[in-house]
Amino acid sequence: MKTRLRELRSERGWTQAELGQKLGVSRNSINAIETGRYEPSLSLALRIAELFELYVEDIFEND
Amino acid sequence: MSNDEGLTPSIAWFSLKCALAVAWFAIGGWVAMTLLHSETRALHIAAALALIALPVIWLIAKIAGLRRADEAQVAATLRGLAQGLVMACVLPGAMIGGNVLSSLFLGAGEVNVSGMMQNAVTYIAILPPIAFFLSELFAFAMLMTYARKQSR
Repeated sequence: MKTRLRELRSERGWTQAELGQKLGVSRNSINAIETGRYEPSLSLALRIAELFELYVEDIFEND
Repeated sequence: MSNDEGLTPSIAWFSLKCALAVAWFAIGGWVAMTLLHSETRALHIAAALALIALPVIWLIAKIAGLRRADEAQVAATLRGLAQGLVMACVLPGAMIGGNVLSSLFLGAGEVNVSGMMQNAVTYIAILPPIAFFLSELFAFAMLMTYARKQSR
């Protein structure tokens, strides 16, 4: 799964730790999602979309 | 859920778990020796309690640890557990099968059922620490890949 999470986070000037804090997950989880090693649950994907005020499909897409 | 960076996989924490696995393995060896060779009732009870209690303690500690973890960490830990348990389940069959084949082709040419049962007791006694070690190893490896940054 491709994700624009790193790009969106960088645009807002947030570190992985800061984004993790906003979402209630660890920095490692953010890193794993950004690098494609972990696919977030629907619940987390929705929280990410809500935080960035975007649709889930604007952030994540299938390869 | 938590953003606790203390949940980052650390080599020191993993080393501690390895030490626990070694200690547990030694206890497993003692349990096997006790069940096979001791005739003391109190030692048999202690061995039985060790067989029952230690996996339960591990399970409770694991559940308590997962309550502090976020979803990616839970996924990695559960996958590590599953892989470790599957591998540990395969081991006794492989060891007993190896015993049978070595008896047939390298030993007396027939299966020594009594000896095989004694070996089986030993394998079962050391199985929980092996499952513990393999599970923790796989979970640690997976969490390390989550923590590793990718340069692109």
